[in-house]
Amino acid sequence: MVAKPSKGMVTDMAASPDHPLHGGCLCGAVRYELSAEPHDLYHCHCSICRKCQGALYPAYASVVRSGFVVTQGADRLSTFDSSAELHRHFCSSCGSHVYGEMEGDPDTISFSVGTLDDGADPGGRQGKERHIFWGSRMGWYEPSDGLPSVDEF
Amino acid sequence: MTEPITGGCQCGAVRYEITGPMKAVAHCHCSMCRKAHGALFVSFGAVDNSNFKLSGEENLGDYESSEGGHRRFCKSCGGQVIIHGEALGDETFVALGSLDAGQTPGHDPATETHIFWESKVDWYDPADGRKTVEGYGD
Repeated sequence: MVAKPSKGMVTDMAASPDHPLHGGCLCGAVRYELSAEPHDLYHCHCSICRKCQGALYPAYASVVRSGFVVTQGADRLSTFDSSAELHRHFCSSCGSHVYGEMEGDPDTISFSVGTLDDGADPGGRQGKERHIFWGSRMGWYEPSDGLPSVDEF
Repeated sequence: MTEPITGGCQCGAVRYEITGPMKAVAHCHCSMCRKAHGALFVSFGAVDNSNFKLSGEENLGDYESSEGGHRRFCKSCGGQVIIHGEALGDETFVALGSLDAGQTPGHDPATETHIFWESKVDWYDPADGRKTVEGYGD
C-alpha cells in the first residue's frame, strides 16, 4: 500500500523522514547528500526516461538546488542531453542516472529516487506524487497504485 | 511471433533484436537494480543468448555488480540495456524499459513475478496483482 498519513496526523505536513538523506550510484563512485525536502515527485512513463534508464517508469523528485550536493565523484559523471533543455548526469563507471537539470530552471535539481540509500522515502510526496506521460506507458504493464496520472508533466 | 522484438538505448548507439517471445518477465526490487537504474524496481525479460542479437556492443560500458553478472549500459547516454555473463549461463536479461515503443515481451503472463520483494522500498507498491517472491523465489 502507498503510505498514507495516519489518523490524527497533521495532513498538510508531508510524512517525510528526517533529512539529510544520502544516495549515490550503484558502484559508489558518485555520492550525494539531500539536505532539503523535495517539492515534487513523479513517476515518468515517457520513452526517453524509459530508454535512458532501462526501467518501465523511473521516479524522480525535484528539490531546490541548494538541497542537493554531490559530495563525491562529480568528475565521474557523464552528461547526456536528452533535449537541448534537459541535461542528465549518469555515472560513467556503472551507468546509474543520478540527477538531471533543466535549462530555464536553474534553481531545481531532479534526482532519480531509486538512487537513495536503503530505499529511503525522499519526502515531499503528499498530494503531489503522480504518474506523468501516462499515455506513453508500455501497453503490457500498468501499475494500480491509486496515484493520479496525467498525460504530460 | 515472426517479427523480432526490438529495442536499444535512448541515443541509439546500442540496438538489439530478439527472435521469439521472452521466456519470463521479472520485476526486480533489489537494491542493486534500484541503484543501477535509478528506479524503484526494474523489469527484465529473459531470452536465450542464441535468440538475442546486439549491435553497437563497442558502445557498452560494463559493470560487474556480482560475480559473473555484467550490467551493460550505453557509454553515451547511460541507458541500461542488458545483464549477461557466466552467472546467467545461456540467458540474457533484457532491461524492458529499453524496448522500443509498442514492443511487448511476448511472455506468458503466468511467468511474471516481482522478485526480491523483501527489498522493496517501503513507501511504494505498484499493486499490479502480479505474484511476489523473496529473492528469486526458489
